[in-house]
Amino acid sequence: MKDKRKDLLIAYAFGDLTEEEMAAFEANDAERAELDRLARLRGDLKHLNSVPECQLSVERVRDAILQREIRQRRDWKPWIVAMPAAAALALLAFFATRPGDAPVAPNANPIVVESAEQKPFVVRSEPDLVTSPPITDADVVQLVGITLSALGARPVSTDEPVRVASLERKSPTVPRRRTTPTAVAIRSESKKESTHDRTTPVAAPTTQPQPIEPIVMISNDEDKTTGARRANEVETSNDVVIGG
Amino acid sequence: MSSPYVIDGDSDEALVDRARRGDFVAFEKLFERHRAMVYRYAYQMAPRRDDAEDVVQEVFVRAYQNLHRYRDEAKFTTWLLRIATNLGTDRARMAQRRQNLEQQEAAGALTWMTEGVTEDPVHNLESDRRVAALRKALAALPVHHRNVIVLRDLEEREYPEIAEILGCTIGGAKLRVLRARRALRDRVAPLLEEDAR
Repeated sequence: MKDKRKDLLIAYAFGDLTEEEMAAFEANDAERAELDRLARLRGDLKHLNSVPECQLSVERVRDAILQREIRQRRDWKPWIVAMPAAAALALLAFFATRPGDAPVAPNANPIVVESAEQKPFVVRSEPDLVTSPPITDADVVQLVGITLSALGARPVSTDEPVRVASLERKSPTVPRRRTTPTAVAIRSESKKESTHDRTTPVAAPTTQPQPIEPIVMISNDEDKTTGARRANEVETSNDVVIGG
Repeated sequence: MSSPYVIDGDSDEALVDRARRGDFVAFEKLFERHRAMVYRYAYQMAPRRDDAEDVVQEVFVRAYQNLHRYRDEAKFTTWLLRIATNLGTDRARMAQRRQNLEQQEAAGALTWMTEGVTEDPVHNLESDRRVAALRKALAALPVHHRNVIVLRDLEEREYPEIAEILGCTIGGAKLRVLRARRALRDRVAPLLEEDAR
């Protein structure tokens, strides 16, 4: 029996043919026997429809739905949203509080030590003591209410050179610590000496002012000839603002 | 034509609408109404009561969670059976894979457990040997064949509905049913020959 004929028999036995097809259908003996078998098969399949009773309760389904919803809520990861939000806030805060954006006081006139990449240090000194107008009695009276003559001082003329040393800070008995490499080197050397020669009696502190060491400022750029870092010497610390 | 499932004056569509608005009692009514139909289908696909009940539970959980996706163009039962079909197909494949693995591990020692004996006590009481053999033959069919035979010959669904459930054309549904019947006929041929004698 050909497959097409078999398919037709199956369709006939299971009632899938139209009325016209049923009327036109003719079967021989062998096909009739096959149709009987297929009809029994169809009838047996209907018996399979008897199934045990379903004991699934509404409560179980309700619990399952609730548990699923709870699990889905728990699985929701708020940090996925929170992290970009926190990053955005941090960026906003950074730009809002940037120091470059802060308003500068109009009367600010600091002493600036500039250290450009390729340039040596430039020290701007203020005020210019040599060319500034002389201090008069009236100025002093206006400021502190005492005349210069009462103090035994005299007004300074612009013709006379002003000694910068007189404006320098008096060096204290114990030299102030500096963080410059020179000072560090000096300190380490003196430390070595003191450790090597412990029997030497320690000299009593003198009241005489010690000579002021010059300040050596080392910039980041290198000297083309020597290859070493370039250094500038400054006489007093008044002309230097550290960290400015 | 009115729906065959109109009880208490509530159609499936009306209950679905209420359930979508958060009325769980309406969904419970839908469950009570269609539980047996889904269970019958699930039991034919996985003939163990606990497995079938798991499938039914999962079908209704998914239905509840996806009520907003249900469109009124299809019948609610068709939609439910579509969910059940997808779920049943997945589960049947997983079960088949698991069974193969177990049998491989036991080197065939467990064959008697899966082939000769059924686990369900109600099934064990069936006296009709032919029906039992047929059930076994149906269970041994590939899942896509079993699916359409259950829908057409056990559940007696019309071809347009089967096409909608399977997501194919009506002609495609007819062809699938025909192939499945042919496969079943070949599988139960010895049984049929024996009866003919």
